[in-house]
Amino acid sequence: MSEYDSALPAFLDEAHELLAAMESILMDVQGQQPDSEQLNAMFRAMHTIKGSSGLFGLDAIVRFTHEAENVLDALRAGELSFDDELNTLLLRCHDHVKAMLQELDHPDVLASMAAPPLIDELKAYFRQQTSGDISPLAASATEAPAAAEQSWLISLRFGREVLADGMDPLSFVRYLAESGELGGLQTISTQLPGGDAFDPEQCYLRFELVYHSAMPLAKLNDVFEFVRESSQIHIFPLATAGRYLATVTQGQDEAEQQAVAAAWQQLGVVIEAEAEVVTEAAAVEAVAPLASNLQFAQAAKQASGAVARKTEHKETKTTETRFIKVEASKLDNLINLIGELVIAGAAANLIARRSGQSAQIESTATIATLIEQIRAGTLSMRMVQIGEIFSRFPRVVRDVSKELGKSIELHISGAETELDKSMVEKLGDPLMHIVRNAIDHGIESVETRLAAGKSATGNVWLNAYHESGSIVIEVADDGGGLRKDKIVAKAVANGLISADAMLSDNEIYKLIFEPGFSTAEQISNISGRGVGMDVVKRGLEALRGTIDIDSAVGEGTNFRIRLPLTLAIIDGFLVQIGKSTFVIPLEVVVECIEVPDDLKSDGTHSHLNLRGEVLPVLNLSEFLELGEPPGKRQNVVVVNYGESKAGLLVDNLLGEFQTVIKPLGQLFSHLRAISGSTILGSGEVALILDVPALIEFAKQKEVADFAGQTEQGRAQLH
Amino acid sequence: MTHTIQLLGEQTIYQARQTHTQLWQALHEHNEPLQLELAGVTEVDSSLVQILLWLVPEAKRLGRPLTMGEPSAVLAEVLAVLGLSAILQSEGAGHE
Repeated sequence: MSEYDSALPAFLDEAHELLAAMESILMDVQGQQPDSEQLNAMFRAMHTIKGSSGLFGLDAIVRFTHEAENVLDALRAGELSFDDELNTLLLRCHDHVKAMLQELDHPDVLASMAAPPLIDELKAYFRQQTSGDISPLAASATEAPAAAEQSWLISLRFGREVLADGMDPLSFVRYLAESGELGGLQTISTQLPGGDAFDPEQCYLRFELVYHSAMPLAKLNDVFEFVRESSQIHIFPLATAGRYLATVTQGQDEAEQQAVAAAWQQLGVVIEAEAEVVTEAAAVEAVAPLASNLQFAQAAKQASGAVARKTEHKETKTTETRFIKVEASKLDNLINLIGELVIAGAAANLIARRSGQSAQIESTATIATLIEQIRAGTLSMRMVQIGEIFSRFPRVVRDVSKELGKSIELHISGAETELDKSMVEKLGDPLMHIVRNAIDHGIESVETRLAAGKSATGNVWLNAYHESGSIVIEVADDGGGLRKDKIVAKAVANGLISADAMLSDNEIYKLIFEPGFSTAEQISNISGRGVGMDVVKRGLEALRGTIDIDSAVGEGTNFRIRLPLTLAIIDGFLVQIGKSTFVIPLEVVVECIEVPDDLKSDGTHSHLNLRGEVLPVLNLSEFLELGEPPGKRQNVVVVNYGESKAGLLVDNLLGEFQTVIKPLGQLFSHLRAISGSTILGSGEVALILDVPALIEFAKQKEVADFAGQTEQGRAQLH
Repeated sequence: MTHTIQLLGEQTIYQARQTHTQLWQALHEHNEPLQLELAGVTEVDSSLVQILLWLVPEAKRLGRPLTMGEPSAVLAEVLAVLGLSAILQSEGAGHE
């Protein structure tokens, strides 16, 4: 349900965009021929909406857009020529789809809109154009004044307020009687309440009538112009009216439905089963080209009663205002400006503090709070739910597993977790590769699974959650797991590692991200060619993300992707080393401690005993080769990233600072330990430390030291 | 004794509330059979048709005999168009 809910706005968004494009094309080409690009665009609009609607199970929309698509396809193929009539028809198709999109919450209403008379008009138009002979019926469609007399079935279900609004249902009947011939009229008053519930100023009447007239449909429609909004008005060619019984009685109580059916029989209408509408509509030869128009269908869907209608209008309005589409560049500009504002605010804060005037300090503090809120609010505008990507996976999993003959179930959780829009877009590909890899290599064949005592259906889990300022996305499967021995053997064979290399599990697993690496014995269509996983690695690196792998042979594999929430602004922690200032992202800082004595005395020992936990410590001054003498009172900032912790040795702690990340130039892009720069309130530049890289380095150093020590130990023994 | 109500002149939405109240009272506050004279009606719209459609079953429900006199030409024509001429013939349950 949550995937549906989260993906739906995106679908609506897209559909409205496509419809808007279609409308503007139709408006542009008034009176001339559209070019092939415009035709393609219109075709695409209907086609895409049809496809997406299918994914959401909106069969009614699929049915309708399918018809529209057919016409556009014929147009594209040159079987049809474009004229004003078709333009109008297509515009009405556009309107109808739009109307349907507004009824997503009312499935029954939606269903009734699947096959509006508009479809018959389209088909009639199509036939008339393609066969080349213009039937007299079709001629009346073009509103020729001298058209032959036609018979209509008119169903008028008046709104409650019609009388109070100063319109008399009777006057319509009188008008019709004057301009044509009434072939019979049945009054239905089942809605008229008995007893005290009857309100003489409300209208409870419904007329079903047969009408013979030469009046063109458009004019006939105009007759009911003023009551159309509040009433349910249907006009059908008498010959085919019998199929629309269900349409005109949609959502009405049984008594009324029966009364209408009886009335129609009285009027000589042969009632057909509704099911035949769709299948046989095309085959009916004697179909009159025009029936009711879109607005009628719209009226038909409305629940009876003015109150119900009003709330419906309100709902429509709120769905319309729920989303505003903003050009991404505008938002980026705003975020940049806010970045500058943050810097300027910090500068003002600094000056205020130096001045020592409490009133000024207070006011700058208030401004700082507001800036903070604006910053958070603006960044949240760029946040979208990750479900947007997740929602495309059920389909992928279904298709791929079908292709491979595996039975796989996909479990999605945490789809509502938010992250930056720009990242969502870039995350799609890497995630797709991982999921495909999990299906292809992770999940075993049914026989292997059963032999291993597992259920025949494999499981793939997609999960997302927030953790210490980053977003974590997990792709897990309960398949065969990664075979460490195989990976190592392959890596050695490929010359990626030396045969005697000592690698941690995680490092071994990460080898699969190396270019050209694949342990799959069989290369399948989906993956196994060794391209793909290195795409994942590069894609994630571009997002400043990392990936961890957990795996147990026979039990499954878990890929854990960790990404920063946003790329623009972070909360930083300022530290000083010598004369330079550095920023550590606040979200990775666990605690700050004074340097313990044992660490100070001996420079070779780079470990810290933190309440029984041994942490590698990195002397930043040394590491960054600043060449500054160590300060008198040094501190250790304990940072963590993922499951790793390390201490960073610094001179001074300067406190929190909102940091606008300015990317480093191309020249510095190879630097591993620095992820960006920022400008301090004082105007100085501070570098932002890349903590994951530092932790990695500290750990490697630890391993190297340890290896060195054991070597030494061995040497001494001998 | 018969309680007689005469509807006269214009009988449209503007009079509907009043006419309805008058008939409602006649049904609830008198016990005699109800006689409705319609010959004096000069202008009709759907509201009067609705009132008649309400009145007939309502009288029956309350067990009040109801007879309606000859309609004016205007009303007769409207009822004919709407296929409702038969309601004038209907009589209250009390007569049976």
